[in-house]
Amino acid sequence: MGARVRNGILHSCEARIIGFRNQAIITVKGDGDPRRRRFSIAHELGHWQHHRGRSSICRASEIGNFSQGNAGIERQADNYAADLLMPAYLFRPLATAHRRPSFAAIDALAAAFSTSRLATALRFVDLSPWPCMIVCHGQNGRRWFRRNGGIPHHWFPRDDLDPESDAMDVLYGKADRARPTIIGADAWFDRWNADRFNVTEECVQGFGKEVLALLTLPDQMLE
Amino acid sequence: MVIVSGTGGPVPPIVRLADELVADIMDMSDAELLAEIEAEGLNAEEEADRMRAMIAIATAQSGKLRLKAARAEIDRAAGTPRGQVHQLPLKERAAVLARFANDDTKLKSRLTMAARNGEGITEKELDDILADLRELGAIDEDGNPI
Repeated sequence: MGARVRNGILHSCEARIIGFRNQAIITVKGDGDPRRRRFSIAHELGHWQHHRGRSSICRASEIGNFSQGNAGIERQADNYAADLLMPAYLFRPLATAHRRPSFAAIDALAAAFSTSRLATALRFVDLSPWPCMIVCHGQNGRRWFRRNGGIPHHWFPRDDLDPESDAMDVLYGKADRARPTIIGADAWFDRWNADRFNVTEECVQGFGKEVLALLTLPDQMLE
Repeated sequence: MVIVSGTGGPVPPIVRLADELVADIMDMSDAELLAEIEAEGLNAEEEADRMRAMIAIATAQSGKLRLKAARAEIDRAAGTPRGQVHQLPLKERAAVLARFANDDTKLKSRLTMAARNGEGITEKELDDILADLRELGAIDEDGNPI
């Protein structure tokens, strides 16, 4: 691809790519989590593949940031990184081999692909055969969510956390994670008929003061 | 089916012939292929195994060649002297960088030097980026575009 990769000491960013004509130098933070570093390199390669000729300086908040507000080119680079590190033809059969969606399955896949829990969870939601979604909340409400393609768009998660949800305990530091639990769908969705269904929720700590909830919807909610 | 070997440049006749042969095979139905193999007095399973083995060897050889090329490129890059632009005064070095990023608003904002409590780049990062640009052949030792 004409790109060289180096570790470096970076203060203002997580990674950068300096490109000129058909050559580029990618520099990533040499310290920190090696899984994160792998994703950062793949992200910069995504820039090189899609935005060749341009240089880019990426802050930590722009790499692997799946909030709706993340800029288009950063999202494109993230998608490239996910495709590169977790190719669908390898990831899909391994994901399907698990009996149900769970963070245990996601963590096992993360270990197999040397990727972060978050990046793996998002790939899992995209490629697994189950109707599941990941919702991320901070103390000021919902930050972002990602749902499997099989879930109808009218199942849009609430902005706020329901006090009944275990996510509350994880968010406020009472627990690192919460076991899978069945809870009324109206705890997560404020659609008119949400109280007729139950969903399975499993929660773990995210980055900083965030909680990640993995929701699995029953087939009846897919109609 | 059109198969194009390589990228750009004239294609040698032997490669064109190979492409044509592959295209002919790919255009054949399974039944036609099996009939041809039987007509040659060959065993279809054995031929399939033989072909798979040949493809696996070719793939491995191609991978080794690419790895060797990448290693050579790393060695070559390691021998390339990093630039000396950092001997210019700081203000001039910052100007070189600003000129480089002139057409890209986002990049330009990121390349602004860190003010007190600011989020811009540090002097060390500035020098590293200039060294990258020197190494890539974008600027000369005085910071002028090449």
